[in-house]
Amino acid sequence: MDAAEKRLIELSVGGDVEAFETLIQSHQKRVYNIALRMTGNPEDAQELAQDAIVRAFTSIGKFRGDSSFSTWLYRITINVCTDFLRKRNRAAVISMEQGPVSNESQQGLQIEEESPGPDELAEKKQLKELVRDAIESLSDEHKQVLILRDIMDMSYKEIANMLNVNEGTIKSRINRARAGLKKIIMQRSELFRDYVVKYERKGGNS
Amino acid sequence: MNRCEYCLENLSAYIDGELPENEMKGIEQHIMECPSCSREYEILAAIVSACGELEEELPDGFVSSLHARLEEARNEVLSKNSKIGRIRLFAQIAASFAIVIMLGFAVRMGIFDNKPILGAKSTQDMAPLAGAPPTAQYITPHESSDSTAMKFGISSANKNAESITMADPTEGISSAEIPDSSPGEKQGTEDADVSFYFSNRADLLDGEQVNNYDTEIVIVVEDINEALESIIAIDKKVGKSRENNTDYLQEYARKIKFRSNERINSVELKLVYTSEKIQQSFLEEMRSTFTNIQVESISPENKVKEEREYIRVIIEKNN
Repeated sequence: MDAAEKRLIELSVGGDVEAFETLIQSHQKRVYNIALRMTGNPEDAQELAQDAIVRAFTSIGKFRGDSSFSTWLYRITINVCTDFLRKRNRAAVISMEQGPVSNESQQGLQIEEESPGPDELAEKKQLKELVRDAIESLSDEHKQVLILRDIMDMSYKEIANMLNVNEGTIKSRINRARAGLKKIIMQRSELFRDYVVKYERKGGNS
Repeated sequence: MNRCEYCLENLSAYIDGELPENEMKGIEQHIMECPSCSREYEILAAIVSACGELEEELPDGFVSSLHARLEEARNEVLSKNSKIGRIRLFAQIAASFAIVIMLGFAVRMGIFDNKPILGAKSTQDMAPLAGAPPTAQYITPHESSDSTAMKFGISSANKNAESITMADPTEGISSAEIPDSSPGEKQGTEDADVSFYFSNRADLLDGEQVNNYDTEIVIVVEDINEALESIIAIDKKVGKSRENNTDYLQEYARKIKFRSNERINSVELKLVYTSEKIQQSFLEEMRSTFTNIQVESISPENKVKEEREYIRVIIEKNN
């Protein structure tokens, strides 16, 4: 933590709104994007991002500098979003974690037959939309790691620290989250219809 | 695991550049040689890169509506922060109580005593305990990521022993954590471990005490493997297929057998049940199976409001 940040925190503890706004200025976009990907909806995302920031402000006296301020703020954001999602009706959520067979999600990766190559995937815009929508269907835990990894660009170690989980867990969780994401994209995409049929005939009933 | 399986399992970490150098090279080599893995790689890499491009701009009016909310919150900040001094004082008082209780517990266990006590076969048996002073772990409201107000000092007493912890029943073998036996480090991993499930609870930040598990069970046994097998049997009996405990436990048992040439003196498990009822039957079975068992349940009003019930099981080897 540099001296300027420290000073801004002290001022914020004293109730200085402007100081706090300066403190969060470079982080609020990321806070919003975490909330956006977690909820999949801009209105909720704005509300939750602001909830998280206000919460950081009202709890600033408890920030002890064990982690960086941004890590602390992002952690609050994730907590706020997780609580929100928990309360929201979760009927539509596909949980990859609860499957009875633990390696289920990896089946999607076990492909030996010919399937469409990356050329079809190169249609970037469509892929981006598919990915964005597919993230919404993931379990909260999988969403979390993908947001931290791919949107926040955090290392496995940083993610592990933020979530208080060991690095090996993060590694396997990210792998499964992406496998799940890929599976959803494959199932939804017109481009991959043939591919999916092939896959299901091959490994669907194990 | 064949080459392709290994590759696919590590593909994600490969894309992120999160593997050791030799493994990075190994996978790179394999991708060049194997058309099917190469295709998988390109598809996954395309998805990952699309993920990285999802960042969006702040909506219009975000900053101004936030400003209004921060102004509103200002008074709360001022009043809260004046309370912090008092909370700190309370935490210190609570901590001294915890130490007193720990000492009491230690005396009861015969730690400062030369006489053998019930359950211990001879004085020598207690020697490892006598070497280590009991420690209290306490949490101030400001660092409540692990809010267990105190632990029994068992882990620090066992400073010479190795312990395996595994964070998440759903994570399978890769989450097995084998910490070094140095007590400082071990304490750290344990904290991280215990707080895993609730690390994403926002209310931790408010300084409330949140208990990380609903029930803690400590059993002392002659043979950790046998105990694990019994727990697996109990879990199968009471659990439902939706719960992943069985896979987790079996994986765990396998892991311990694999390490049978090492001295493992304590094992910590975390089990998850979908309902209080199943948890209760689990507890009853445990009580009737193990003789040396301590069960400590969190009172209902302090319980984490969750659909799932968390049980922490500590298996101690009776040396």
